[in-house]
Amino acid sequence: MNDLLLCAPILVAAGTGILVMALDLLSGRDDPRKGFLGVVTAAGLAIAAVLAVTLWPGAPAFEMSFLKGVLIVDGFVAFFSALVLATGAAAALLAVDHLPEQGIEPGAFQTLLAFSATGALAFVAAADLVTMFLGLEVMSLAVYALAASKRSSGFATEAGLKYFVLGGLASAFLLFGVAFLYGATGSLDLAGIAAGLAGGASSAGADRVLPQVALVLLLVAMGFKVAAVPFHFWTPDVYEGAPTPVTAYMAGAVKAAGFAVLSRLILTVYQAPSWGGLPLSPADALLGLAVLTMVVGNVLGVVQDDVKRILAYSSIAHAGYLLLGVWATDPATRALNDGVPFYLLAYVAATVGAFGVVSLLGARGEEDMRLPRLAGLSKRHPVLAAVLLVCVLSLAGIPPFGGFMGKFNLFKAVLAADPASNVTWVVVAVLNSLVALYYYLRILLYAYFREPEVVSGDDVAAAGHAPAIRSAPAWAAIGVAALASLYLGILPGRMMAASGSAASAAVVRPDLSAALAAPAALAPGKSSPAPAPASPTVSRRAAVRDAGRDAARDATRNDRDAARNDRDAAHSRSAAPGTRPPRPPRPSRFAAPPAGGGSGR
Amino acid sequence: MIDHVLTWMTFFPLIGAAVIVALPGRFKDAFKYIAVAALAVPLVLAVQVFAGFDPTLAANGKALRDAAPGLDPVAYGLQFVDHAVWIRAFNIEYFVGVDGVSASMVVLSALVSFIAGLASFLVRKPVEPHHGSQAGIQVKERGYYALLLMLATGMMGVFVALDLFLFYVFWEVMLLPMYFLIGIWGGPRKEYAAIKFFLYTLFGSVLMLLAIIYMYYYGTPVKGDFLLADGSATANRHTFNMMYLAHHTQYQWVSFISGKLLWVLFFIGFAIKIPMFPFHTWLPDAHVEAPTAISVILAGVLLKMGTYGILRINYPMFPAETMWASTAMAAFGMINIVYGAFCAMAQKDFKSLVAYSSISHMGFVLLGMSSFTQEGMNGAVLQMFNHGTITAMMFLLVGAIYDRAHHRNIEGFGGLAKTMPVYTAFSGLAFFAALGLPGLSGFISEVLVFLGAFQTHRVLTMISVSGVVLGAAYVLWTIHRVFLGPLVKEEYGHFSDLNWREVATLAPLAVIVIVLGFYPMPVLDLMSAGLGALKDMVLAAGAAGVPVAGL
Repeated sequence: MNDLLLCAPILVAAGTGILVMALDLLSGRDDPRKGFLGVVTAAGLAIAAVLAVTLWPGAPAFEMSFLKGVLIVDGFVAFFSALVLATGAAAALLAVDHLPEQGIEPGAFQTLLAFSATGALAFVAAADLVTMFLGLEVMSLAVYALAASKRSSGFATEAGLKYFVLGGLASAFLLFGVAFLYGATGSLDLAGIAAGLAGGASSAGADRVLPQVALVLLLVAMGFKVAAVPFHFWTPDVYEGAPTPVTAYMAGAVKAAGFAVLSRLILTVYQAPSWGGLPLSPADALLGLAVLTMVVGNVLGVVQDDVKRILAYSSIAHAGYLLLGVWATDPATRALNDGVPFYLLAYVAATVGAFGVVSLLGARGEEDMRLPRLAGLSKRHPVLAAVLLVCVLSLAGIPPFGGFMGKFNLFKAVLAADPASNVTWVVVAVLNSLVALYYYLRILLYAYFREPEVVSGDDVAAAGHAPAIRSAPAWAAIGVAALASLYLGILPGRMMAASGSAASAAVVRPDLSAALAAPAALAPGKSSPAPAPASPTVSRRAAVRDAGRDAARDATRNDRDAARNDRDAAHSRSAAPGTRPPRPPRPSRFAAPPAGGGSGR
Repeated sequence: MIDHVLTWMTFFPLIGAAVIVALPGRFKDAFKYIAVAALAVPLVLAVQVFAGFDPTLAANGKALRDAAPGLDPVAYGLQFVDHAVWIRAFNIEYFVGVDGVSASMVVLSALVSFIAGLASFLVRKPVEPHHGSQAGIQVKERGYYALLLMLATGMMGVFVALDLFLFYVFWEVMLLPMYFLIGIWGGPRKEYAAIKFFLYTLFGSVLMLLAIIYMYYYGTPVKGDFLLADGSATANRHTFNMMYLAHHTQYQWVSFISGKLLWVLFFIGFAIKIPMFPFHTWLPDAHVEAPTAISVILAGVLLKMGTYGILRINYPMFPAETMWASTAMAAFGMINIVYGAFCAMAQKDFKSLVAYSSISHMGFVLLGMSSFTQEGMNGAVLQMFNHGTITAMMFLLVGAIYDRAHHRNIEGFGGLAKTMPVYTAFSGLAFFAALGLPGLSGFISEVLVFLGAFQTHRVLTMISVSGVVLGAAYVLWTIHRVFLGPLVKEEYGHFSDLNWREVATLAPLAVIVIVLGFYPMPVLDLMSAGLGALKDMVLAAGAAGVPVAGL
């Protein structure tokens, strides 16, 4: 029963998809009231989001054995699931009146959206790599179809095909990486892999090829999902070609889910800060990706002339800042940087709002969103222009909007993690956000400073005089996005606290699974509180710093070793009670075959 | 007497902005009156601050160092304090209050904002319907007045904020309205000017942000804990409270980061705003394109934020580093004075002449500040106040003539004294005050600056004095070209003289210029004691030398 209750958000999301599908079948083919399907989708996803944030933080582990190793629910998963679901709901609302204007069939669209959100939940909550892969595929397959859903448009079809082919490639990379990790450690669940890799890393002659290749493959796959350079080439085309509500969903939900899994996977599996002792360490790889992503994203954003493409490059650049946040873990606590979840929240709110405004401007099948079409927006639609203003400035990181608090918080946390070496990269990021300001200001420049060219007759629509779509649901969605951007900028306290607790739960600790396996074995030999700290990370971090960083690092490492030894001991006891002594403290498991090592599994 | 007077002064214009945004379009004739009313309230409250401020309560450096960690604002010379926790997770507080320097700036800001509001009224039909006239705002009034009020909130906030984070937020918030005010209601090259203004200022402020973050993390209390407004201890022992950061914090320096670096980061951020050579190029562009009222605010208040920030942050938080940079500051001040004056002399455009004269005059502030003498510091802050009033007048006057002639080419005028006697009288007053004629306010502050700076930077001061001569040259030459001689065009003989509204904007400033020229003590008393303490603090720290390694 408990397990079912814990699964409720996922079940509700999936149920929403089924319900919408049924409702679509029950209503007539050309029923003008099909708009309510979008409202139902949004309501279902919103309920799932509420369930996620109420049920999941601090939830007990699953009881049933078949779910225990499949899904994890904790504060981290709750935060990102709610974000994904809220974005899905916003996209559904944006689509309500957008779809008829574009000639897209709403039933299939909304169904796919709900299923995609369901997949994203499984993706985020996965405890093992197979579930993760399944979640990724469910999420992505639905989005491939969504991107191509405007069948009358060559652009949309191209976008869908491009996304599908490259996305399929990325999935293959992920699967390949999973296979290598399994080969290296004999385990598919995150904690087990982490323990295996950490054990192998500390022995001198361990085989580093498998984990190294796995790392590269995983980073390629996840880099594709979050649109990191050099895996970003699809992004502008797909964002431009896809129907704008789908773009909002991709830029918001898919990216948020991607970052949730990226940070959990990399930080857990490669155990920051030792990072497994690889030739190309995850830290270097992440840092390289981060710097490349923000520089390329921002520089290419400057030369764009299409609003959707500008926002696409902006989303690439934001991925760069976020990667920097994932990279900068505190050497002592090796928790996720507590600026990352809040940054994503602020980014998603602003980006959904901005794409929402763009989706409302694309009436009557007009999806050409070159900058001049925004000219005079402040006169024609002052409220839309104001929402665009709030969201774009939030993306640019100007106070008093959420994006500023996000950037401030993120850079602060990056600096705090290790100021001496990180300050260079924070300066790079800050200078990048200056470059970004140029293209954000260009959007506002057209919306506020430029008068629309006076044209007549057939050119009216082309010159930007096309009326915006009248849509109460979409207005609600962008209104909430704009208000959220303001709220996060002015009263960020609550969400920062939520972000902190989410971040502190990001890393799946190997000692946690050891504790699950053998609670008694954990008790002796503990010098400090080990698993997921309940207090905010910052206070722990400060305490640790006062105590001396190196000492703390050693302590954590010893801690981890102790936990691993306990786990090994528990493992061998359960396999062959009384017959074997506990393993030596630092076993080499890199080279060991999966079922080998003599444990008699 | 009203409680929370600074909070009201800061946020009342914002309420006005909300009202203007909310009102339906048929009330659009009322927008300007609402705006002026919303700007009048802070002005009235400024009188309360000015009258109620007790200058004897200035901070005493020695008492500060011995003070207990619990924050007693009075010990720091702060008055009208409002103090509450804003974002507890990061120890960010809503902490506002004024000491002598900020009290004078608060008064200036309220006054200039109000006058800018009045100056925005439409005088006559604009020539170019799309761009509006330079002085009167006719198009998109709702947006204009709402943004003007937001700008007033941002400016006031910068001068009263005592929490470093709050300060930064106001600093940035003020950029946005300015960007739109220049970009929408500006002249032909408004887009270029607006973006240049925004990028320059933001470049400086992000550098500042890095320094702020570093100070937050690597400043630890000298003794005890930092306390929040409600008396609870800060989490992690970090703080943004400027009083703690200035007086009770020791910094830990990591690798190449040092107090000098942080000082430079802050200084560049502020120098761009002053604007100090070589960061000054945005100013003439912004001024030339901005509508008159916005130029008034830009020159009258915004430029002061740069020097105010240096006094508020660089001086008390990095006193030894300030001493280290003293000569450089004086040298840049000298360059500003001389270079700005030469540039002003070369201008053909009336408005850009006034803009360059601003650069020259802000150089006096830098020079005076870097002297670390009572006279020099007093002179610097008095010069900030005087420049605010004098330049505001000059921009109003330029706007008035642009409204009539629709061009600003100095060579294109001549003989205006005959047709516009009142205008000429006000212009004479403003321009002579700018060149430092004894009996007008500019003279007192310049003399104080030179008296102070001569003791510390002898050669640089001697070169700077040439700026006065150059100033006299460009001012007299301008007066000669614009007001004297024969009328260049027949139609200029039909210009109407200043109307009541223009006189209403100029007269209060003129009175201040004259009164402070004879009796500057009201402003000097306000800040003298506080500046003295600040100077002593810098000198003491300078004598001890720049701390090399932290902790």
